[in-house]
Amino acid sequence: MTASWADALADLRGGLSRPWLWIGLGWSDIRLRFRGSLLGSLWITINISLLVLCLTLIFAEPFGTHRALYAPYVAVGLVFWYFIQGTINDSCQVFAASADTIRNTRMPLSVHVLRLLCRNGVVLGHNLLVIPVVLFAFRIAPSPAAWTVLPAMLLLLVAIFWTSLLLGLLGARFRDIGQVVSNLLQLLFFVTPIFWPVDALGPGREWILALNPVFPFIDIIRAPLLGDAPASSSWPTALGLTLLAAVVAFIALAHLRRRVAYWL
Amino acid sequence: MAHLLIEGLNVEFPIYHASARSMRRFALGGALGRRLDLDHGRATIRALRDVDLELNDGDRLALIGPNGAGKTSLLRTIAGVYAPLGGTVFREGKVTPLLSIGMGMQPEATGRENILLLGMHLDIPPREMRPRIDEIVEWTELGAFIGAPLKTYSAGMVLRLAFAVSTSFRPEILLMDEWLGVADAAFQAKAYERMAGFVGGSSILILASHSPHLLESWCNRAVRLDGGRIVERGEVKDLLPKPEA
Repeated sequence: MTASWADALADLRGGLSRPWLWIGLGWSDIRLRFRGSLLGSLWITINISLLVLCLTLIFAEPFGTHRALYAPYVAVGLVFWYFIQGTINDSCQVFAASADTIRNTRMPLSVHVLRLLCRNGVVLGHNLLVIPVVLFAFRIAPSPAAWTVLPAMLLLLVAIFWTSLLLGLLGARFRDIGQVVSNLLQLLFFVTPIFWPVDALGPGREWILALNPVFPFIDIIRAPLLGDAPASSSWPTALGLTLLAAVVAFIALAHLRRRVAYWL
Repeated sequence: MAHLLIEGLNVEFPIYHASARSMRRFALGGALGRRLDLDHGRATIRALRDVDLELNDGDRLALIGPNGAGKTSLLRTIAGVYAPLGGTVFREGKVTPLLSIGMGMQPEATGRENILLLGMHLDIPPREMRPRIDEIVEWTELGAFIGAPLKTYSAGMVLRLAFAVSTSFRPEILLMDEWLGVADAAFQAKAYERMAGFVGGSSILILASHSPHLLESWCNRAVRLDGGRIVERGEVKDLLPKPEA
């Protein structure tokens, strides 16, 4: 079957024009996950708070960072890392998880990706609560450029959408993709400066960051919140990666959209 | 006003070996050349061949044919799930596919929540579905169960709920695959009554089933499929397999 650009466009438009559908489904996923639990979705916030606390107690000292600087650093990094990891990990199975729907009714494929984003966005929202608390507790004044966090978060959402769509399409065909991706993500967590500060790399080893596709996104969100400026390469790299993901994912959608129903 | 016109429809799909799906096979196939590729490569199935069909308001079509004849493939293609390899499917009117019981429903969610969830899967926003909930609860006779999780329902109760939701807005082109066959006689009669209300007017029904009784009472015309082709068209009773004498 040949590519159908019109189909791919219609799929995206059909998904984006039905926010009630993916918000409704994404929200119900979260509600059902915590149904019957006493604290409900508050567990998400408790979980990340504990992790920030533990990492700070253990790692602030060996990395030679004051706790008052380390805690906000690790909090912001972890909150967004969790969003990236959670979404990308699920994205390989995003169509397989809705196989019954895809095989039995007509629904734009982009809806499933937007639902995934919405579900993980709710988790992100719970985790975000930790950030102002930590910033205030340690008297961190965001820089005047702190507003750039908003476009940076938007860019992250867009990049994650395209990447999830691409991995979802590939994951529907190749079941190993999920394993490959979750392994890479685990590796990526340790090579990304989230629980260790950038200068811990030592001189001459910054190239380790240059190869990391997640670092620019973390950097453009984290630096302004902590009153710093992001690395000069971070915004251009994040924009470039987002564009690349969009182009590749759109081409993949045009070629593979019609086949997904057969693969599942 | 509903109209369905299918011309020269061909649907073909690839069959993947369980093993051919993994990247190892894919990579090895590439590295070791064609021979492996032939062993584990794609075989395609012609699911539908040269299907022509036209249906108008009030048509209730029975799809008859043995397992693997192409009934479900035809329904899925009409629903827009499978893309035709050749030919056209022209639909006038909203297609409501009822092809899998429980599609879009969540076992942990209550009946009331599942009404909205299934509605969303049928492209009906919750704000349009909500005013229909009372009518659906009444028709399904679920009573207090509507507030209980779906996992506590019997198969028949799930069926009632799915059918009521799918038909709460008069469907213009309603597709049903087999599953009504598992309903008991009382529910079939009740469902028929609900159906007759709208299909009598300006809707199209396409029903695939192996139950002669169901097909005869619900449908007013029939096609018999075999090997992906329509091999016979006519009255339901003429096309049903003759009982062994």
